[in-house]
Amino acid sequence: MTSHHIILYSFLCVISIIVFSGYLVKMYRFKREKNRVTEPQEARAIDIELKGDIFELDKLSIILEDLVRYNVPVKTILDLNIVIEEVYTSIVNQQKEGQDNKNVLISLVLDPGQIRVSITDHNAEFNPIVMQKIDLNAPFEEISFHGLGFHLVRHLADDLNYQRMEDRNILTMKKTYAK
Amino acid sequence: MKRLKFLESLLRWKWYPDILRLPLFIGFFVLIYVLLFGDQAEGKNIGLSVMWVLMWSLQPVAFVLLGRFWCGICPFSSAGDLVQKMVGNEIHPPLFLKKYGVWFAYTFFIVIFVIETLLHMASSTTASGILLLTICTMAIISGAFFRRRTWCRYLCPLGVAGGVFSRLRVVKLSKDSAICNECKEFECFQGTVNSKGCPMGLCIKRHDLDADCISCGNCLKNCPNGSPRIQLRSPVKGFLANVKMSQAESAFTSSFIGLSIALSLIKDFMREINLSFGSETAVWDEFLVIMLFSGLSLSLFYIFSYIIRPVTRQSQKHNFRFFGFFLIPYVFFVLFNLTSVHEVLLNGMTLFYNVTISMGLSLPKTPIHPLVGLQGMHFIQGLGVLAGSILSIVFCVHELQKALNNRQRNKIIAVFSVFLVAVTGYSIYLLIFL
Repeated sequence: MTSHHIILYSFLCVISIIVFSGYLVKMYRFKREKNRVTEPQEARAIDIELKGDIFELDKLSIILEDLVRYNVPVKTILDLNIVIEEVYTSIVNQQKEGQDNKNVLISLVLDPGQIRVSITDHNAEFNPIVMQKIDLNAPFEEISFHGLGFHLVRHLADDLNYQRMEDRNILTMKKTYAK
Repeated sequence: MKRLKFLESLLRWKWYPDILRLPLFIGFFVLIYVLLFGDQAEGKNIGLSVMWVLMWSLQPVAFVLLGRFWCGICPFSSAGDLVQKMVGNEIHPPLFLKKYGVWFAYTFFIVIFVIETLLHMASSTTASGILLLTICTMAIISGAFFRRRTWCRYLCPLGVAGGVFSRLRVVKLSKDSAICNECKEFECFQGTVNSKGCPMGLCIKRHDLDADCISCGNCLKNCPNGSPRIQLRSPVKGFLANVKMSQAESAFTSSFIGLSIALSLIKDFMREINLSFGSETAVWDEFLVIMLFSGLSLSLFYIFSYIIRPVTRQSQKHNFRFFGFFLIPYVFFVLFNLTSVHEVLLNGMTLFYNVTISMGLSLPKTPIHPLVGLQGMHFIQGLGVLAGSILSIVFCVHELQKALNNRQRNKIIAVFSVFLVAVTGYSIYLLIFL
């Protein structure tokens, strides 16, 4: 038997072991799923701390994409991504030039069938909820595009609430989905 | 941009891409067999010629023409997909893999590249066979445990590095934004009865298609609204339409510059060290020195992007990504020199001889000469480096014209050009005069 035979056979052995262990893991997962007693799911909390930099958005979308593993539908994740992106971008834009970027805290709480989001920043007081609603039925020339991002947020999220606590703006919202 | 309806209908065909994958998959086993059990004499193994002269040399050209088309039909991923079908656990890849997997892939690519050059893997059947079998095993591990193509998307050294050069692709998948904006079902991502969802986990509405699309055609088969389309575009326009780069990609392009210079220098450098210290150095010392050069080039580029903050009025991270993006054409030509030009000109005739002999034709027993001598090859490589650096500067100028005023723009262009001209000049000096 030459060294080349040994190389080939060792790789074949490794591949067979991998395939077999993959099969065992599959069987184990299948059994576990079958035996699992359906209990009400506990709420899960995810805290995301972003540095107040626009490039942090990549990090945000990576974390949000990961919600698929909690059985959140893709459409809800994409909507949520748009909503948080809009709010976060507006927070970053409001930061004054020359000042150090302050962290923005995004907390997600996953309940069965809904996600509660709260976004906390340290900018000057700004309540987006009192902003005038955009009338999209008005003629095109008369539509003011200022606040269009928040119009989208209002459209995609439910139960928007704003609070000013000490030096923080806290925006909370909910996003429901069919389980 | 011209729409290629013929290619669209080909990609919608139910047998595509299996009709291409099957022969390649069988060919892969034949290749492994020939590599390990074929003629082991130097220059006589047809498996080596096919692997390095044909497949390895074609990769850079294929990336620029068709993007990651190769990944769609790659035999390693076919093996992974087969195992996934049989025992797939469909586990979501862990978050750290999504975030840092590409760093591993770029490092792996650089390590393989250096080892390949130092150990002359292109003339070693054992090393080539082990490399192929290792990558195949990794793809099978990914297929057995993780969902979709985790290996191809986050870890495959060739695919992920190819994704960087795919930004120059000529044939590209694009979308009709108006249709995608209305979409609420995401069939391209989720899949339908027609076909599975995107194997790379891309949603054409949201993701960067230039770098990661493997042209498998699943989105074309699945989308009920006909949004995905195949288009022919100019590499310049397409490249500049999406100036977006991650830190990892910039780190890869900048460290590759140091790597290419180190590869040209290493023999003389080690000879000097041996003479100075009176000791013999091994291949692993050369490997470490090259990796050190690569790291040095990355650090210098990092410092460069920090120093020019007052000129660009942008953060260091932004500068690092921005200039890293415009190094792509330069790095592409360097890679093209080191793979396609090097292999075809030096070993092209070997492939021809081996193919002819394997077809049963007899040839005169003359020694196999390279197509072009070393000096000629270095001249061609020098031209390639020059073309890459000119393209990088022209693309950068073109992009900066959009946003900045004249004075600021001229400063940035001057700084970037000085950096690139210095690197190009030194590379050409090494190629032609040493």
